[in-house]
Amino acid sequence: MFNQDQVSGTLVNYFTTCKREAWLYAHQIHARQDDENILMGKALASIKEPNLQDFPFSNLKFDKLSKLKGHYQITEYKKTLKNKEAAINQLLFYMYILKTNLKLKLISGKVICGKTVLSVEGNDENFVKMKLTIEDIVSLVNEPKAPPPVAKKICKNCAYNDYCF
Amino acid sequence: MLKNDRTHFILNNGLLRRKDDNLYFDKFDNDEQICDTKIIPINAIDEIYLLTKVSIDSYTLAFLADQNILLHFFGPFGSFRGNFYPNTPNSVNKSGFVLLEQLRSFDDVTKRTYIAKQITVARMQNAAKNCHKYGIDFDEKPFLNALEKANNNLEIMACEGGFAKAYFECWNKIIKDNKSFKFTIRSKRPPLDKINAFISYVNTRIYNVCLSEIYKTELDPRISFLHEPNYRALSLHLDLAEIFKPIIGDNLIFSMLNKKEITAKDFASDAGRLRFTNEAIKKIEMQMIDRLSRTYKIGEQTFTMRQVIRKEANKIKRCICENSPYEGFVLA
Repeated sequence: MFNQDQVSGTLVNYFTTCKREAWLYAHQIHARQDDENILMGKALASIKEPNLQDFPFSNLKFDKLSKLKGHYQITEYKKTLKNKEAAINQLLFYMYILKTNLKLKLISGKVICGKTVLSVEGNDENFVKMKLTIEDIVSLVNEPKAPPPVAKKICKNCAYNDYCF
Repeated sequence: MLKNDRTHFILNNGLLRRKDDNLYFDKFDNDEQICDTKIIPINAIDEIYLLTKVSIDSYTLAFLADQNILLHFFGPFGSFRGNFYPNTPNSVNKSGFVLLEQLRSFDDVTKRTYIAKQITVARMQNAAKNCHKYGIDFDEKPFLNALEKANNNLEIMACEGGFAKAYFECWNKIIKDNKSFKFTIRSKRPPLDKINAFISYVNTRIYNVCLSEIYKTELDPRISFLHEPNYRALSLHLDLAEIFKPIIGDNLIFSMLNKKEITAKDFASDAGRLRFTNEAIKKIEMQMIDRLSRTYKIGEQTFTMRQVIRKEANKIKRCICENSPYEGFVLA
């Protein structure tokens, strides 16, 4: 049985992009590891704050944590912003977990891609949406079978394409 | 997309070591003294074949595991001895779900027979294509029809055996040099004549390529569908290789023998065992790499042969996990 604690940032990102991808990822069916985009993503993930390992929620794997005027701000680096919604949701998930676990009053975040910066506000409306998303993810992953593949435009660059088609 | 073959071979005695996040190889001369050092770029390789006496330490092995690099070890007579394959959080083959589904598919006689049958159909069609390519009249229809009626693995194996016999008979018509390379009967462990030694060598290589591609997916190489998995360590790669032996291996043998790139002189006899000289191995491996990096078009995507093999493993995985129909790869 898959439960809420097992949801990860990547899974939220995948869930926003493609339900099938999320199901496969949660069942440890991985995409091609030598895919160019995946390799670039891994390289980006290695640019991390060195002292993040000591932070108690380091299993969340966000890229940067900083204190800003008394509240926390987390940062996520992305290669492209083609998939804006997924990146925002992923960041929002980190913010939601940190806020609820640490009982923070205020938290904010930003997605950085090249010179563009997207700010994400940690307001109640967003967090309620996030809570529902997490519940959706848990019920999707607990389905016995993966949703069937539907050919979309993004499938062309997806590292799962040799599995789906 | 990766277009070249990311495999490295080590054919000299020496020491493989890590230094500064890169891999170095110190070549030894006859007195075990370092005579040459070269860098093996870690980002440009996926696997290393160690065909000679190579020293390696745990620090290097841990580094290789981190980088997801597969090692293949061979004994002094070119016989396969084992793999070192990464088992870090970085490696992919860790899905309990896929393993369970694979075991369930194996236990389900209908599904197991279905997968085994599809693999054999692809093998027969690919082998028949080889004969047609060389202008030999070979009718695969009766074999395919007999296979259609097979209900279990024993019957499939029997069909396959009959087919292989007829297929190997065609080899004497395809290969021009019938004096040194006349095919009489398939012999293994050890191969008794030159043609069998050649087949065995090439097949071992294909098995290894298939195995390393299986290791890149979540499938467990211990559970196979066509071959009987009970009495050996690993067997799924044998299933997968059935499809690709005619495409890669047999074609390689035909073309190298007919172009006289391999002749009777390339074999050395070692205590009654036939083996290739080092020069011959180099020639064969160059051909092998060339064939593995040739590209094929499936649908709208272009794949190298190696990627086709991985895709095949993924197709089997998908059939196992989602009950989707499976059809083996047949060369267009």
